[in-house]
Amino acid sequence: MNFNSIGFLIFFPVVVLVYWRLPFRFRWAWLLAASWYFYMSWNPSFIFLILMTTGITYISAWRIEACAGSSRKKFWLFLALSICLGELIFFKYFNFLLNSVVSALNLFSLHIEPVSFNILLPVGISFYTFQALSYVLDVYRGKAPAEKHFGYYAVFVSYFPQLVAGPIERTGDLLTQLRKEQHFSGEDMAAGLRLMLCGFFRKCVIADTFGIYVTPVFENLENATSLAIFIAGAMFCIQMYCDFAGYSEIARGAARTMGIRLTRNFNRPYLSLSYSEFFRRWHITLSRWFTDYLYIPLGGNRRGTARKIFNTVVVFFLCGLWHGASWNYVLWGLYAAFFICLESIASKPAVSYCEKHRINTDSTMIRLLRRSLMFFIFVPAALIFRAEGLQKAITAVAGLFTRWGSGADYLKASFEISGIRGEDALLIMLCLVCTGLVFYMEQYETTRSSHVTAGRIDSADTSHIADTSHTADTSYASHTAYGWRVAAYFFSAAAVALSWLLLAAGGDVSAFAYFQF
Amino acid sequence: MKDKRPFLLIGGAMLAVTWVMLKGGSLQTVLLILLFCAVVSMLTFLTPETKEKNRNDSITEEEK
Repeated sequence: MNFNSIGFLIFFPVVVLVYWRLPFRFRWAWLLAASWYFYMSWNPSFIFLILMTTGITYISAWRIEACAGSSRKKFWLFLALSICLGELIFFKYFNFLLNSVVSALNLFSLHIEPVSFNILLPVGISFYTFQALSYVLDVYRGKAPAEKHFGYYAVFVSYFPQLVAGPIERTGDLLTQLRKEQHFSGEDMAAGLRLMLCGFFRKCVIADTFGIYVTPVFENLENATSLAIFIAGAMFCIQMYCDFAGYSEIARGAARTMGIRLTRNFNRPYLSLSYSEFFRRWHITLSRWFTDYLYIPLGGNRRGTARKIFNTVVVFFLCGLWHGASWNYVLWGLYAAFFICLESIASKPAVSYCEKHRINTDSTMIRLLRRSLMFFIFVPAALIFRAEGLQKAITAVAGLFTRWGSGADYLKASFEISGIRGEDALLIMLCLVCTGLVFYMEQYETTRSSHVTAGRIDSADTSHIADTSHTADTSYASHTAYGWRVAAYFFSAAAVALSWLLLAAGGDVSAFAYFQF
Repeated sequence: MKDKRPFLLIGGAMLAVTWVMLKGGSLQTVLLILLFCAVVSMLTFLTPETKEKNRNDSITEEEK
C-alpha cells in the first residue's frame, strides 16, 4: 500500500479516527493491527519476517538486561545480530553474493553459469532491521531499558508511517512516545495534515515530474550527449531528494496526526558546503545509525588519519551496500568516501592557505561557489546511484565527460533526448522554485508546531526531533498570515491532485524510490 | 482579516483553469497555472515583510 494510493486514502483516516476514539490502553493493539495490515498489503507472508525480527530482538534485549554483567549478554547480542543480519543478507544479498562469486571465479577461467534464485525482497527490510538492531544495541550498552510489554515493542518495530522507508527511529524517541498517553490536539492534527500535504507535493508534483525527463536519458545512455546526461543527473538529484524527503514528511505528518513526533530526516542537503556535511543533512537517521553503531566502535577519528580513512571507507562501503544489492551502490558509497577522505586530508592546508591569503571563507560568494561545486560533485554520484548496474553507471559517468559539443544542433539533440520542450522547461523551472519553497513551508510547520506543543513531550529527549534552528518565528500566537497560507496549501493540494490524476489516468501509481531498499 | 488578495488569486486561478479547460488546453497547462499560483502564494506567505505586516495588523486588532 503506497502512500500515494487509493487504499491509503481510505486506510489512513480510518486508523486515525479509531485511534483517537479508543481508550489509551487499547491504542497499542490498534496501531499494531493497523501496522501489520499495512505491511501485509504488499505480501501477507512477509509478516513472518517482521514477527521473527520483533521476537528475536525482544527476547535478546530482555535476556541482555537480565544477564547484565555476565558474559552471556554477549551471546544474546550475537544471537540477535546474527539472526537479523542473516535474514537481511539472505533476502537482500543472496543472489548478489552468489553472482559476485560466480563472476570472480569466471575471471580465473573457471566457467560457471550464473545462478539466480527467485527470492522476493521484503519491503523496508533494511529499515526495520536497523531499527530493531539499534534497540538491542542500546539495551546492550545500557543506554535504554529493555521494553517489557511485547505489544509496545512490536508497535515500535512496525509502526506503519515509518515502517517501509524510515526515519529509522531510536528507542528513546519513538518507544517513549508510544508509551506516553497522547491527547487529541487540533493543532497537531492540522500540522500533521499540512506536513503530509508538503510531502505529497514533493513526491507527486516535483519528483514524479522530474522522473518523466530523467527516465528517457537512462534508457538511452549510449546515445545521450554529455549535456543530456548532466541535465538528467542534476534532475535526478532533485527527484531523489523530493521523493525520499517527501516520503519522510508524509511519515512525520501521519505520525503527528496521532500525536507522535518522528525524527526529521532531511535538512536542505543540497545547501551543504562539503560532502561530510551532506551526510549530516541527507537521510540523517541512517547517517546517525552508521556513526553510532559502526564508525565510532571502529575507532572513529580518534586513532589517526590512516585509521580514520579506513573507517570512513568501511562505513561508506557498507552504506552503499545497504542501499541495494548491486555494485553501482558500492561504487556510490566509495565515491562519497573518496571525497570525505579528501576533505579531511585537505581541510587543514586549505584553511591555512585561506588565512595566509586573507580569503574570507564565510563570504557569500565563497559559500555560493562551494555549494555550486558540491552540486557538480553530486551529479556523477546521482548518475552512479540511478544507473541499473555497474556497467551502466560507468557508461553514464564516461558519457558525462566525453560527449560534449557545441552549436544549436547539439543543444537541440540534448533536450530532445530528455523530452524537454518549451512548456516543459517552464514546468521544470517552477518545480525547482517549489523545491526550495516547500522546504520553508515544512520548516514553518515544524517550528510552529514545536512552539505550540512545547512542553507537552517532556519525558523523552526529543529536542532534535523538531529542528528550530532556522527561521524561528516566535510570535505564532499573533501570526495571521492566514490568507496566503490558505492559498499556498490550496494550490499545492490542487497540484498534487492533478499530478496524481495524470499518473493514475495512465494506470500508473509511482512507487517511492526508497521502498526498494 | 483585511487581506483579500489571496482569495482573489484563488478565484482568478479557478477562472483561468476553467477557461483553459473549456478551450481544450492540456492538463500540463493547468498544472503550470496551479504551480505558478502556488509559487506566488508561498513566496508571499514566506516573505518576512508579509509576516511582519500581518503580525502588526493582529497586534493593532488586539489593542482595539
